[in-house]
Amino acid sequence: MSKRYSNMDDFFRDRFRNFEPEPPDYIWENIWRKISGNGPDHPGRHFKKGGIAGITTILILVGFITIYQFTNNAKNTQVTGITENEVIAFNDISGESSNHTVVESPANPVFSSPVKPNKKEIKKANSSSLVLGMEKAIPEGIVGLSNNLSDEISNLTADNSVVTAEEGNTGNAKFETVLSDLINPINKGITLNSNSGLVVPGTIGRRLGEGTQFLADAGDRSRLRDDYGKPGSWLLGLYFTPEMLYNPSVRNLNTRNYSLDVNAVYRYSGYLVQSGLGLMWSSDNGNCTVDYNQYLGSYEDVYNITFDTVDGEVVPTYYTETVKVYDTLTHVTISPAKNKYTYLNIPLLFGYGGEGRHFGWFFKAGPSLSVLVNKNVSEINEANNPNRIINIETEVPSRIETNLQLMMSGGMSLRLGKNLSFSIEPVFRYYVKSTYRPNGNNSRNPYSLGLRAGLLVNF
Amino acid sequence: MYAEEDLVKRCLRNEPKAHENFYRRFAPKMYGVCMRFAKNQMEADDILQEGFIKVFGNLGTFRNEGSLEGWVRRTIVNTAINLFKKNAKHLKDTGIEQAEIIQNMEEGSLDRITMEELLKLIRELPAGYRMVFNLNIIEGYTHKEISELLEISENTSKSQLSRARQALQKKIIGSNFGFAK
Repeated sequence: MSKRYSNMDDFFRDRFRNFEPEPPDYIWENIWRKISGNGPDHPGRHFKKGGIAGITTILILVGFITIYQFTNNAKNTQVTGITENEVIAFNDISGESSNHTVVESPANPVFSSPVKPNKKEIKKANSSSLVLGMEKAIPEGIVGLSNNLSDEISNLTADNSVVTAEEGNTGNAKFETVLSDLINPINKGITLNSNSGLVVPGTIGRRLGEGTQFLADAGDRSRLRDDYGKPGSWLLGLYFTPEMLYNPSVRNLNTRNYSLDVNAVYRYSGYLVQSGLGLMWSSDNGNCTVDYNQYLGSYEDVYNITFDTVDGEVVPTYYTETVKVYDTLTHVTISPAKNKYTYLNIPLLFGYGGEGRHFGWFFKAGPSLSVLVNKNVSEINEANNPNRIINIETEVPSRIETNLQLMMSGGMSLRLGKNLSFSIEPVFRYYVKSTYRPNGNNSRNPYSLGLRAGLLVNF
Repeated sequence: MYAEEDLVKRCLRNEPKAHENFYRRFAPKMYGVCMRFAKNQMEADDILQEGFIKVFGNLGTFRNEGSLEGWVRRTIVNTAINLFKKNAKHLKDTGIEQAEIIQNMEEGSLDRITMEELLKLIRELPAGYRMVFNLNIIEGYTHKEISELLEISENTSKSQLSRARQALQKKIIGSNFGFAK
């Protein structure tokens, strides 16, 4: 039997009509793993691991800083237990303290205080004065102040001696002069932080050399203390955040978020808690494929006829209905679809930061809840469309009403004025569950990257 | 064997075996589609896998107004198109050339061509030719629809098809399958 083809197209059509090869088994295994979420190469898993690792790192960092802080506080509080033989106390560093301090000559470098300072004086020393326990180390910070001076101190303390305060003891005039000279530049250059209780147990050089709480400018120090140093300060921030949302489950989906947040920040000794309210505008941009049969026209179909006699004449009555006629071919059209959503954001962030003279740094992490408050979803207007729509396949899936994210950010701030600062921080959000309605393949967790800019007012 | 509507509902309820049943029902036919669109078997496997994941993901949007097989097929074809668009360079706008049509081919002589050889002929076509040929000749898309799908002009689609036909014709004749022209 011979079959003739009118052209090559028919030949190919005919041959491929019943072409149904059996696919390899591993394809189904891969598909099943993906749709059931058990795949070994599930990208969401890596992000879960990454998220956990990130949070763990932050917690460890916060823990380390906390321990470090407490350790420092512990060192400082030890001063209260230091005997008068072990310290030189400058009870009033801004006054004439050098006149009260007399030390022995280097030949007999162990000094003792014949007059015990009373508890009040000791406390004062701990809370508002510089307390020096000079060991053998040469104060590097002092080197910065006066090389000559540090050289002289080096000579005096090179034999591991302990220099202590001794009131009423007349010692070596040279060393007295040295100390007097030592104090004067400190008087000129240092204002101690009474709130943070800066004391310098042990090596003055080590403490001053670290420079952690040393400021050459007393005025600046005073100003910074007012703004940042005091515990329990409040800030109010206005933040703007453009973000790109990446959804591993939905390809070709271009999602942008823009957030405007008003957050209150409570700072306490470097730690901060931040919360507030904000609005996030989000849009999904993709394509929508519509299969349809084209409307060709209509005709009136007679579905019933009745005959009535009117004045002796038979009059037919036709009952009709309009029947629409569509092309039997399926057409396809692709149109852009844009879904817009507005969310209410409620973050609760915890963090830690530090402040310098002009710049500060911080990092924050915590949950953020987003509640859908408004949406504007592109829809095909079937009522006004004469064509018969067979199927609509959209790349833009619909979203769920609430989602929870884990937010992480770190950045820096710049002082714009006494009570105003500007902050900039890259933000990473990991969505604890998908923002889209689960329907098999979009169960992977999205994440977003953005840059948050904020204006903060100190109170 | 479930009815189509019932099968879809069961899949949406995540009933065990429903997805597999669904897959087993349509996979061979769809794999045939993938084999035509892909340049090799590995790519065909990828299209089938990606396509079925998309099918299961969007099953909730199926309206039962057309045939389920047609809907699955369109999804698979769209997946192939997406892969093509991702990999393809820009298709050049070229002039339309009238294809020569092989007239009066007899099945008796064409029977010698195995499906593997036919697939090889199609796969050896440049990606753009192959895509337009498949969409227009086998799947029945119009040039206007192809132009929208591939984001090319209608003329480009027509010229690609023309060149695809010419190339296939040369290959078939050159392969000495014994066609009468």
